[in-house]
Amino acid sequence: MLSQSKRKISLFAALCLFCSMLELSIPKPVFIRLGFSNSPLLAALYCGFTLPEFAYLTLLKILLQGIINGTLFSYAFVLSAAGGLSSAAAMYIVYRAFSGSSRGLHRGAGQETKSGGKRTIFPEFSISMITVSEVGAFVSNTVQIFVSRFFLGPGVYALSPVILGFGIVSSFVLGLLTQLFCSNSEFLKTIQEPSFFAAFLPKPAKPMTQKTKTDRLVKILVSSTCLVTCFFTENVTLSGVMSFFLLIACLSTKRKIRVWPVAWTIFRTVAISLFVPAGRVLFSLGRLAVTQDSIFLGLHRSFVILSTTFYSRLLVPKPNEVESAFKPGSVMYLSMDYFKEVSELWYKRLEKNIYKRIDNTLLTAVKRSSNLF
Amino acid sequence: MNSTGSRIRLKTTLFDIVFTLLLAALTVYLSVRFATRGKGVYAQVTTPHGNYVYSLEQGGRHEIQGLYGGTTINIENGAISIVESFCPNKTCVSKGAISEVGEFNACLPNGVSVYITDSPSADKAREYVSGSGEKADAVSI
Repeated sequence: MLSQSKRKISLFAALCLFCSMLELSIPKPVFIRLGFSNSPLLAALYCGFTLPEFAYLTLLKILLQGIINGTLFSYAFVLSAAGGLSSAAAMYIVYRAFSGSSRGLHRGAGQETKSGGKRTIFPEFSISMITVSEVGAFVSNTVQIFVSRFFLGPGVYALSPVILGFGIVSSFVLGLLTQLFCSNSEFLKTIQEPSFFAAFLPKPAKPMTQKTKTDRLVKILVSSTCLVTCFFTENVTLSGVMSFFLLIACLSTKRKIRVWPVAWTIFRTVAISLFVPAGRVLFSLGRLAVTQDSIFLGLHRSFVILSTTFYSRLLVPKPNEVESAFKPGSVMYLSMDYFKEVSELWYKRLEKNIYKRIDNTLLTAVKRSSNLF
Repeated sequence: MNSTGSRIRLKTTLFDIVFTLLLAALTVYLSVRFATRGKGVYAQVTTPHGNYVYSLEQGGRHEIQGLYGGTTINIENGAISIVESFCPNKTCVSKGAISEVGEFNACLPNGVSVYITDSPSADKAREYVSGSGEKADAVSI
């Protein structure tokens, strides 16, 4: 039986996946990311997660998102991990340094604070979720710009004003929305009851399905060969062909591959490569010389990036098989179970007020799993 | 629940606003630093068959086709040099590496010229060719 702490972490990890699902359902340009999946991290700090719990939750969130999105072995996972870990560390440090003041703490349940900021560095100041969210976004975006330089080349620095500027705005909005939700959430009040997680017991686990090992091994060998070839060749045609083979392999196993993200990846990577001109000048756009070798280099980089994405999709279990890939009763299994419950309930609810719909969905999901109700 | 009972506030304070403004200022500063990081020194190579541009931050060896044959340029340690050329006297090769904005080298018999500029645009090279550029060194013969 998992400890209460791990059950709590599993629930919040499921909330991260749920928020990620909500963000995907919002129509927006493919290059815009709002960061909804960070909202449960802010709520976790509000609920008083300790450092080990918060760190565990962050790692679980990054891993599960990589598995659900099929990006576990791709560059996107590396970026997500770098940004996620750095922003979580920054948010926790800021939270620890500034929150906990006995003056002006929001005690929604009317309780007195016990320590009055015993471990706080700046007890005179207290901050809200908006600031914590902004610090997390700023650090995450800065780290991701540095890391993406290895995949997209030095031209990525030219996009930094847009990335950092948009990050400040979106994190402000995210912090504000999370703040509003936490102020009025019945779900959060319920799970903060002292005895809640004592009674929040996992349902009996389903038996694991048997998989054929041989065809999986062949799949891994062939796709790994394509990926390695793509990485080590400098020939853009060969890297394109390897990437195409991996795409065909994904489609043949009935994995969904959306066209727009693929097209956007190629366009973005080539555009960024143009900022470092090389080779024959084809034409000029103002100060920017569009050069032949830069285009080829951009195409090669995009094929490498896409090949890691397709490789990841091929190896990672499909969304409806993910739960059965984990050991029953484990933290990851429990997280997927909660996520499945919450997402199924979400589509059944009809409230027009989005906050009410989210809150009631979460409350109903935990009631189903708790022996208190 | 955290045993210390500490929590984040759910109301925005003056400190939040000040912190946001400081973070925004830091964002602007870093954005400018990042965006101008790509600004560098470029080698514009003009030939009868077209123009080429290379950033001196990216090392490499390239063969450029001139009027009668190939001219090989090498970019290393932020400088560019002509290492091989079709011409008989190899004056362009003996000039060595150039790296400062405004410097110039050429293999005139083969029609290949190399200019160092601070802009990746081909317009800067055309300014030097027409003599309207700010700095134009004497042509090597």
